[in-house]
Amino acid sequence: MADRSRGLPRLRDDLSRLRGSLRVPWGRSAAGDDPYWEAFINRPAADRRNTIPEIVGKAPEGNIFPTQSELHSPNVTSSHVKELAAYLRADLCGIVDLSKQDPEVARGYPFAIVTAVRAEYDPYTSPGVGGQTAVQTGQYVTFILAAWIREMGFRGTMKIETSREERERLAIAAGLGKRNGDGRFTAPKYGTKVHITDPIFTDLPMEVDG
Amino acid sequence: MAQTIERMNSPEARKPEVTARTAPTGRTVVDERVLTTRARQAKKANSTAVYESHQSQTEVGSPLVAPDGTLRMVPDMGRSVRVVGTVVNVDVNDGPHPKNIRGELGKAMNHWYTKTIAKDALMRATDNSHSADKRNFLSTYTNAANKGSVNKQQTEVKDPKAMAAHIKRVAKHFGADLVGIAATNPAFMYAGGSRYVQDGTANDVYLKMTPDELAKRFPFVIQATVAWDHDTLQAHRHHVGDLSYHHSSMRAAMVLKALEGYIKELGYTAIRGAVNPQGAGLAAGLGELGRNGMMITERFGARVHMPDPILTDMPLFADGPIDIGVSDFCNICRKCASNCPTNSITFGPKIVYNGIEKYKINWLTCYKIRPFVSDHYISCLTCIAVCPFTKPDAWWRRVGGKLLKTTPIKARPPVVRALKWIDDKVWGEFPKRRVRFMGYDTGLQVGEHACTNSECTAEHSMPKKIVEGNVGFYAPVKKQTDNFVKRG
Repeated sequence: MADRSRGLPRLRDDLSRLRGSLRVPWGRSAAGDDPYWEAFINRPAADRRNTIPEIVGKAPEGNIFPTQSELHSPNVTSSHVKELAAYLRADLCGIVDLSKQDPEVARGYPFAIVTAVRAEYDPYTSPGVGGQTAVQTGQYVTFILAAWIREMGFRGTMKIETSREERERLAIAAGLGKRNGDGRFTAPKYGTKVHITDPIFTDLPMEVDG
Repeated sequence: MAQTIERMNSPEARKPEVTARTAPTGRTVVDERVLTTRARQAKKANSTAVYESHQSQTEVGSPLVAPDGTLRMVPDMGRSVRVVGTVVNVDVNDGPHPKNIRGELGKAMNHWYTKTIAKDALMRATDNSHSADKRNFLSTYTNAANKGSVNKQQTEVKDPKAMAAHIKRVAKHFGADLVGIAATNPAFMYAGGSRYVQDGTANDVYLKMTPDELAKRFPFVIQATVAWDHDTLQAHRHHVGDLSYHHSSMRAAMVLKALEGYIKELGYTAIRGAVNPQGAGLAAGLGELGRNGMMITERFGARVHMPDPILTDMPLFADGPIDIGVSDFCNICRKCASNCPTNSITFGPKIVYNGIEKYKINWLTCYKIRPFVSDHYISCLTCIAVCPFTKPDAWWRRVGGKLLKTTPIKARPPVVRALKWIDDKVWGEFPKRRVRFMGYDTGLQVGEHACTNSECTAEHSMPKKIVEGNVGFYAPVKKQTDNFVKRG
């Protein structure tokens, strides 16, 4: 039997491509009647200091609180992490056991929290201010999550540079999705329209996902 | 210098100095003439987007012109707030927080605000004034003054209406739930020279401008906000309710910061920290001012935070104030006043304060509760949570809102009484809901620390507790606040 879990996202991708090609020339465009939308999505910022990814991306991280908070058991802590991520409007959240990953990826941390947000426009192909909105939304989630972990007295950082390939591998290890036939990351509910945020590397004891 | 804004038909405006424009009956005809002219010109322009000063009279002696030649304009902020006299622009440094930081509210308050950190980790990460390390607080960066430059390649705006629609769409794309544009008016600007920028690094050429000068330079103000989560807000007077508030204010700060940067990218100037957020929100039609001193919106009720708006010179199309019946509802309801733990909300009618007719809360008693309760919560939020307008954005809420909105003003009182009765019966006169979120449980009594999660196998220093029922326990507010509030 065919791999059904891969079937639906691929079908969704195909349908989305089909919808694009079948759009009637006199119909409303995706941007509606907005004459400025195209530039908003695709024109790169003249001064990157005007964009949130630059402002938050360059923000230094705070200290770890000297006293560790009393924790629940790891399964409950995991559920709290996911609850907070969803509250902060992350669409997907998973926890990876880094001891099973390449040490170069783990960087000395036992766990990574991987979150993803829906991305109407792919930040890698849409360099405009609007095209980077998914990065901005993701930074909001990861910044607060990492700050909360540090305030609980544990290590938690989103400042470790990871490539897109590494992030996708961690997201797959966290059970957030799979690669489709084109080799692109797809999530069961959102297809390829997701942006995987910077993972949070932490030593907060949690139950990992598979 | 204090700026003055006077209502055109106020007693001051009818003084005999304007005899040349006074009719034999004693009524000023200039008001009607000016109004007619402005209405005609606005109609011709098919918009309210034109800066009002271009349409107002420029002769000294007119009620619209101050003796020193500066223009006076009466802002339209809807039915809930009316300018009826002289308005002195408020210095941003006269707000509760700056006063407290300077120690003007007493040592205990100052100590609590400037020298204590929250015991709760989530509060330390989401509350500016009680964080252990401000670098762990996102708005430290998103509320800082923008360091980016204005793009020299300005995007031409041929149709201000289209640009206004675009800006609103962009704000929503960034995550805003509500967005509105108002024509700038000096009445809702902070006093000249005071700028509300949290990191204190605003250093631009506009810093020393007076409200009138700023209003002429920047014709539009954009206000956008993010609604609080309804379910977690039900844990008012609890850290979970605090999170609801802090989450929305942090997110709104990020949205506005992104929008500010985008306007600069389009080649227009955008500054922040110069406009009173509520005044801008009212004029932009985001909502009306309630008895609890909060902005009450059509979709989300009082569960919105008014962040620092954007002042811009970009050609836009302004919205106007709205009437959703808040004034009529608050006149009868008083639910926030009867639930306020500090009796800071009036049961009486609107009063005129600083030339503005509105419901005036006692901010000092509202503010002074905080050090006494800081172990349990930071912001009270009770008046917001119990407000009948604050409900989930569901169809039944929209039906009630539509009913009130479409009823003629004179026929609204019976509708309000019926809606208030339904609200009391369904949600309770003092709503109590048990909220469980991230290990927090409002089923626990105040001061009690225990794990109520049945799946938790950790050995806690606090005992595990099974809480029966689904009714939240809330702080015995009278006991808390009797310490420092005298009750009538």
